[in-house]
Amino acid sequence: MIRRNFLLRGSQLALLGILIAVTAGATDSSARFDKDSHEMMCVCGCNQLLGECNHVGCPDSDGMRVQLAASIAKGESDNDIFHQFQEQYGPVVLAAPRFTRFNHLAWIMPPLMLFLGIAGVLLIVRNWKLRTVPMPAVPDTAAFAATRDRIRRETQI
Amino acid sequence: MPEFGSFSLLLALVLSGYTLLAGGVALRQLATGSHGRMAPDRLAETARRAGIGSFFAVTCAAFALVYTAFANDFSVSYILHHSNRALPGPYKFAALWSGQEGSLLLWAWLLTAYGFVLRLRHKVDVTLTAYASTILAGIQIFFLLLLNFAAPPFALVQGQTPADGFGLNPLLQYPEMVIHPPMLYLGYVGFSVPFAFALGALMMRYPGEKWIHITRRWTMVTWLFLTCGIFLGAHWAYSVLGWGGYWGWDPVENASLMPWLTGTAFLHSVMMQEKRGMMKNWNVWLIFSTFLLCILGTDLTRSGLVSSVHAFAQSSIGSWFTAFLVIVLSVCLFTFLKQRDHLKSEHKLESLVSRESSFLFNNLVLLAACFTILWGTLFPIISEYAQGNKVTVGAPFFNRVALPIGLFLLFLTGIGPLLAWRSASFKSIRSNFILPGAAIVTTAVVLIAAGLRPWSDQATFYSLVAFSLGAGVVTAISSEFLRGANVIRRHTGKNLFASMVQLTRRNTRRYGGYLVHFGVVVIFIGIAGGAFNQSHEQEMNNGQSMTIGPYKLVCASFTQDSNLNYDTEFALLDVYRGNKKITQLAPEKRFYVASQQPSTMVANHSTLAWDLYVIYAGKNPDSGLPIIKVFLNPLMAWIWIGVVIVAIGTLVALAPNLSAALAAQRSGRPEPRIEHEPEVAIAGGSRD
Repeated sequence: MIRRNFLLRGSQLALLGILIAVTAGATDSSARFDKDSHEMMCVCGCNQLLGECNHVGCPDSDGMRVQLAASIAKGESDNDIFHQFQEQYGPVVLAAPRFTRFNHLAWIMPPLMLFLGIAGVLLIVRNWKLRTVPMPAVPDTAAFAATRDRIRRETQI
Repeated sequence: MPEFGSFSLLLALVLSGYTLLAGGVALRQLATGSHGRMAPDRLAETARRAGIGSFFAVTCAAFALVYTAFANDFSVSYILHHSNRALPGPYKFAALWSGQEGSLLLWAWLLTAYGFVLRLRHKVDVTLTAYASTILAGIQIFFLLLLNFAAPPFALVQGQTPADGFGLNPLLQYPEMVIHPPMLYLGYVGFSVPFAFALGALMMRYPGEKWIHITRRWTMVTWLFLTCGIFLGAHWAYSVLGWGGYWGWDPVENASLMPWLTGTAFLHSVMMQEKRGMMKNWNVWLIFSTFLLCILGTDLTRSGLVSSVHAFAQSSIGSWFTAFLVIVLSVCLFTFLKQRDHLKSEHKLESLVSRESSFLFNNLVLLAACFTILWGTLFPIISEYAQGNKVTVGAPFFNRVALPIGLFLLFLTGIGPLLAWRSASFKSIRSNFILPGAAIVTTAVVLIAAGLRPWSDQATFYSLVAFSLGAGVVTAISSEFLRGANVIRRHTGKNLFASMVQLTRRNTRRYGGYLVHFGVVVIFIGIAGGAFNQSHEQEMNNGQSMTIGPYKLVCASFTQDSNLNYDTEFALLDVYRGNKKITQLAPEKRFYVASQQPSTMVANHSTLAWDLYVIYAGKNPDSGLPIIKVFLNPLMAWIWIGVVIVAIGTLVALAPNLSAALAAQRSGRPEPRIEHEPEVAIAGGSRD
């Protein structure tokens, strides 16, 4: 029981550590600009992230970056900025679907398929194992074990 | 010449049609035992020869198009739109695949070339090759129909012929673009061959697994071409697009990655069928899916369903690809349902902790990655259909969802080869995993102690995981090599390196596979370096400097120049490390005369530690000074080195084993065409 509790508490701590590692981020304005400009697209049709669009004569990216820097300087939250850009340029400005009702599907499906696949494989293996006919015992097990030991000795680094 | 090209394409269509019809009739007669006026084997032979003839016909058409480009014949619409008089020779040659019609012609030419080799080597297995040849002829017909009726490359310009062409897209005027598309197409088109063999083997209820041995080399060569094609494309994007990155998760890039993932899954799972007679249904569908994904990717990008930076690829021929996709899928489904009793597994999985199950999980993860990419690529269309507005699914989505899957795959790369076939005992797991496990933990601890802060952001966390897992996988691979080499060293008295070479030559497939895995680790390390990219942008006057990382850049001069093809502006930057000048870089901005389009020419100083990547971003119109953007990209060279290692590993795995080569030499005959290596596997063999 104590061992189980210890394992449970250990896994909770590990999960917390992973969550902190994954979610913790820099908060200064240049890091925010860098992060947010990589969460949005340039809308000129070049299909590049706003933070990376650099082609000559782009009619949109410079203006959008100035707008983003101004919004960050005003202290607006990321959500407000994304909402504002979305209002102005349409939903295509966001480089990844936001967590709205339908868009959840975009994020859920890949891990769901992976987990379903893993569950499927485990199920198949379980069924196969249940149906497996046991192999007859190797008659000369002593000689076999000796050979195996010799091979292991010879292949040891 | 355009008339000659057009006629050649029509002739190729007729010959391919004959190959399909005559081949189909002959195979039907052979299967049912019936006879026509001609004996079925003779009829099949005429079909084979017609198939060979189709290659020469398409070769003539390809030659005609290249000749037209070099002759500056702007009466041909394709040449008018993709070439001009001042275009350098190699790019005139590359014009063959720089547009829609030309790239389809390249596709058709490569397809008939693969078919040519297959039909020449028909004695490997006459009947199975006849099936494969007939199926390939069906695919040829589709592409030749496109070239003859939907996207003719020799269409003539209406009215007066212009004096000069509109030029080649500036982004394509780069040396790598001369080899990247053919490589990629060799990969795409090459999967037609294993597909044709798999479908043919299923149609004729081919006994045993010999078809897998026949197609193994085809599949590996094709996979190698696709791998090189993808990474050449990434290197081109890195060197030409000038945004400091190499992979943008663009739909066209995704389209190339999806068949690569399923092809990789096939290369692994096919070993289960070879060794244990398992996963036959799975393997057949993997190779079907790989081929279908090649077509689907082309369909998605050429139909304009999804928007891509490869805008030159969009056209109205998408509906043709959709129809072809439906036909191929129907044929595959029908054949599978009709013959599925032929695909029963001979063995069952005995343990979750075994080589077989590691292949299963490897396949699962590869397919999950493929599904993620397909889903992300299609989601904008689904969203538009479901909620009336299109959303963007770009790099942030793929990085968040696909990266963890990629790391899981890296983990499996390490543990898979350490597990034994059928069942691994706890004792063997413990002894095999102790070193790699220790390497993973030690690397993580050392990196954190050295200042890496995985909790600071997601990218750093992922890079720490990648470095640590990479160390574990390299340790596992090294210990496998050392273990085997030590045995040889003890028996032969050779030094360790010579023993390792001999070990590899004894089982090229297994140790070539390990090299491929090592290359994959090196690539992952290069990708993980991306978490520490730095960039800086500054206006620079003569003598002004900027600093990034250990480098100081001093502007020596900036000027402009022009030639017949383009006008250029560039800066000369002296690069110092400490007080020592190490190189001079000249980033450029070009403006191409014919196409009236600008293009960036990146200047890059690459070392093993990092790339100093410099872009001439343009001139400030107010000050007239050049704006220089500099990136410091750590470990970037590792990605390209990793690809070279993967290519070498694949070539090693393709080479015959020493014993097979010696046997062939002794008997005075060429190396056996079909070899069966009972104890080998690209991912390694079992020890206990």
